[in-house]
Amino acid sequence: MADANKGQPDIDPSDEKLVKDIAALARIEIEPGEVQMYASQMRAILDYFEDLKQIDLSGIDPTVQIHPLGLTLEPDEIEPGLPVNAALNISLRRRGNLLCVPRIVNPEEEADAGA
Amino acid sequence: MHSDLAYKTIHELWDLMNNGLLDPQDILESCRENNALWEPEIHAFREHYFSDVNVKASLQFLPSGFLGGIPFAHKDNISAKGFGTYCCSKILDGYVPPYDAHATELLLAAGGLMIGRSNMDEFGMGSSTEFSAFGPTRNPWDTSKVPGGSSGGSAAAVASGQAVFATGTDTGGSVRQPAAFCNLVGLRPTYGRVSRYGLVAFASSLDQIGPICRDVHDCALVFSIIAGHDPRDSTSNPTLLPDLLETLDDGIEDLTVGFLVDDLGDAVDAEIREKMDEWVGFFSVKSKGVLPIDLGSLKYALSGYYIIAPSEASSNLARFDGIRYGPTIETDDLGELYKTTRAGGFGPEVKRRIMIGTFALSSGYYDAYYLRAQKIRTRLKAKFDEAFKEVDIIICPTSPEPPFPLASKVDDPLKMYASDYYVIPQALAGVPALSIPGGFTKNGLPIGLQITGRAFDEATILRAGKAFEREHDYISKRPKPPADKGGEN
Amino acid sequence: MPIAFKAANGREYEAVIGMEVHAELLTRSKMYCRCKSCFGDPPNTNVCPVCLALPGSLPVVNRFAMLLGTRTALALHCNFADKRFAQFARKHYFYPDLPKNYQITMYAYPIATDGFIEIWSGDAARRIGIERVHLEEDTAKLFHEADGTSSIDFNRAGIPLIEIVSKPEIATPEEAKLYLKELRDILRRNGVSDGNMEEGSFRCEANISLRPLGSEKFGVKSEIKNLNSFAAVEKALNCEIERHLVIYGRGEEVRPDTRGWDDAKGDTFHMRYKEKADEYRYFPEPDIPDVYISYKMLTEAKEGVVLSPFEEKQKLMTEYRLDYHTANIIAGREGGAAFFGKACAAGADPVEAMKWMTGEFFAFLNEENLEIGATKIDGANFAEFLGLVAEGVISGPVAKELLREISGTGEKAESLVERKGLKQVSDDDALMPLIKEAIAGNPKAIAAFKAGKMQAAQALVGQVMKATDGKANPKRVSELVREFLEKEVE
Repeated sequence: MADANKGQPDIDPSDEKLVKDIAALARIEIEPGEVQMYASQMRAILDYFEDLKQIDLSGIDPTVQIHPLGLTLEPDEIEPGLPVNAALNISLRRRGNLLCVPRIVNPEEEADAGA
Repeated sequence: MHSDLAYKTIHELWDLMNNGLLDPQDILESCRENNALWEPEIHAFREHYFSDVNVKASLQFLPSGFLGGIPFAHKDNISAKGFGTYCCSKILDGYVPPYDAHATELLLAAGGLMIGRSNMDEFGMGSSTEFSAFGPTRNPWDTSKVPGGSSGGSAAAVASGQAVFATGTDTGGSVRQPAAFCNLVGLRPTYGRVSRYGLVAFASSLDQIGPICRDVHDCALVFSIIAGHDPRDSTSNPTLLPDLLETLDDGIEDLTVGFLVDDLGDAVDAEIREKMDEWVGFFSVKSKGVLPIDLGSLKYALSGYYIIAPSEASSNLARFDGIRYGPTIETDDLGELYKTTRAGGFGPEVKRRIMIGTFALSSGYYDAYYLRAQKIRTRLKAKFDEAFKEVDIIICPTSPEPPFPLASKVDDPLKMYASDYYVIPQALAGVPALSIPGGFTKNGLPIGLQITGRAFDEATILRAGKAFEREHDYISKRPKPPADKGGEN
Repeated sequence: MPIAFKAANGREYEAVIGMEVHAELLTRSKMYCRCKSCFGDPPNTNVCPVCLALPGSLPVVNRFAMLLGTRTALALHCNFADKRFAQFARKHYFYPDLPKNYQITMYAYPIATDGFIEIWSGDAARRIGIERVHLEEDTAKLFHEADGTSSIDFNRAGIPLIEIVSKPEIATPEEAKLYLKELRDILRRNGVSDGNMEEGSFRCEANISLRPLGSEKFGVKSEIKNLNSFAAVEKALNCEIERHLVIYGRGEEVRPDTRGWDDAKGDTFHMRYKEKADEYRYFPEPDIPDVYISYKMLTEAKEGVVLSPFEEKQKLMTEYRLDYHTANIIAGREGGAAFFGKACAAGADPVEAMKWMTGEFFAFLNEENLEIGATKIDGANFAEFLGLVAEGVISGPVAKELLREISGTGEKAESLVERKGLKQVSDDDALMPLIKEAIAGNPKAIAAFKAGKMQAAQALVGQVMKATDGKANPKRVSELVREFLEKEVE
């Protein structure tokens, strides 16, 4: 991913702000009391990963598929899917033949969708 | 004792049924007796169907196949149409899939009777089944100890005679380690052998469904049923499966056996090191010869796994937002819907891994973590390929330690991760590995012997396992039922 | 030569515009599952575990979508990577219209890159670069309800989309519009998408920045969404140019943002600031193996590629020496250039073919709201028809009717003329009696003619035409009438 590496960050990964940012990205609410715990656990885990930086991995390609595999391409034929009730009754947010969600309140929630 | 029936193997029961000496009802009854005896103590199932009249009735209509009516415990993360599939997580509490996983279809078509949903570490994340949102499972061999994880419920169900076999899933050892902790046979297939369609994804490039059985023959049988190409899974491998039963008894005289040299030192229990020496002795006599195999420091593999798996998990678990399935909350704010549903639905280990994974995939860190971990993987696979030029199989312990006490590691993630040292490399390299009963500690706790083979060469590791099994009678041992434990020493 | 826009402070700027288009593919089923891909079905009736993102579901790629993606790459003159490698990737963000909360798209390795589209801008042909072409899946449809909630219909989730990103080489809003038209027509003609902006099967976003004239460094970008028509694109970009110029004119800096277009107000409006890049956590899709587009697929895709409207116009201009305007009209019609080419190949005179096509034929098509392909006339029959006209076998008025008839029935021109006896009457012996009859019945005409009103002759010609059902040769009739009248006058 050519542009994914925006330079080595200097921030200590256990930084509480980083934990909060990650929790926000992952849409998981972390109680204020828990932030420190996650921060120190993450720090410990990431310290453990420090050894990764030592070994020489130059000239090695990252694995994408572990065994070479041709791509399955299916013919463009319609197959029956789920009946409406089977699809919607597993949700607790069913309203008529649609699912209902709260509207975006914070405009920042509205994602930069590709479509 | 009637409950003895449940301790027979599939092939023994099949022979009896075939000869008219046994009815599937008898086997079910035997399992039910063990259920009454064991389950209050060990909690192998999140839910079971022993009291369900429909289950007993369904025995009348089972398709005839090798598994004609034989009860099995089905891990709670493999979709079964019409049956709760919660992955033992609160975020899927109440979720009943409208479709079957490929493996479920195959097992039911072969006549298997799904007798319950095995308890597991939530979403497969854990090595002790203590991270289930529905309470831990206890090891039938010593109920103060863990049964291993994440397929601990499946292993415990079979070990306690509540099921004749079980399904598990292995992402970083979760079939093999519980099998080892419960004196059972567990197989992690080559990646792509068993379809993942319907398996709730944890780490897409590592997950595989595998059998947990009483003996190697059963394992080969169940694996033959569930393996095979499935066009609904694009990572499913079309490599043909040979007839595994045909070569099962061929012995190991033609094999060169590698034994793993590790850098764990004292971290491996002394009794397990002793057992390893015994195993090497056995193989050196029975096979063409043994060689030490050094795959380099597998600590790198551990690090690599604990980046790749959480990264893929953080992605696969993004879909759990309370909208299309699972519990949801009342709110006017969409942001709150996501954050609160997920915070309340995921347990602490799952949250931890999602955080690590989200971090490792984010720009600025992706190269240093995820990308590097995938390079470690390439390097490790190359090392296995090198090793398999010299040897046909590699043996090592399944776990560096015997089953450990409950609550001894839950607060220390790193400690928990280290117990996966021997089972993670095979997952990363995509190669198959079999854990078989390898002996017991002085205190009667099971020790597992792990046999690793080349990709797509389950046939060789199975016959090697069978050769060992034939000469060592570990599989006939049984854990003492709870009632007995009270009285005896 | 770049177009200059002047700010209040007197400085001149040039515009740098890029377009991003998403088009729904004309497949029967969805991108990663075999649910029906369709607009307008009752909500949530085309869904399955995959497009609903049920736990345990897995994607399986639609072969025809891959073929259409490949065909598009070829039609846009793109380059494939080594071994024609491409790779699906996950793009993460949370939104109710995205069931997995990630989209399976392509990131580091699209289907193809570095292509171009050609357009006519003013008098010159311009080449606009294409950055990349890739495949991805559409989102579900969200409806905003009156009670402050939203409803989700998953029918659209998973429908195949092709994304085409231009290089930032468009210089004016008008060029942007021409680019979009050309791209839309290319997609339509190659059977890739029906390119319908109103129905949402063709969506575009524009990026625009200004920089001092002649500068190489990019200026600050504004992104514009919610563009519902080509006209809106042009208007919105013009608004943005003005807005940027005003800001620069004041000596200030433009702040990069995402904007929407308000058609009613005729202006863009601020939606949100894009201070930092979105964190999508792209990584290769582990559930889909690497793509190597096969030689077989490449060949199949190539077979379906047709010339773009620009290329067709070029061909008309160079091969048949038509002027730009005429070539534009002919090639602008779907199937027009091919039809013209076939007619000429069958022996038609290009000038006559051009006259009749851009005149009577297209007028007829417009009246009946038809495309060429919907008629029963082919190039060869048209050539035959033109031959009959050129030889004077049929008269002008008859020809017009004949053309309509053979478009409707497909009957060969010659046989229809024979069958209905439509041959033009040019024989003087046949015509004279009719002329005498017309004149006899119209004494005022002679009087008018004597008085110097030449148009009187016309009325007589008209009468003869009517009497012969248009079959009389109007030129000859006119000559004969004149001769006769002039004799009378003498």
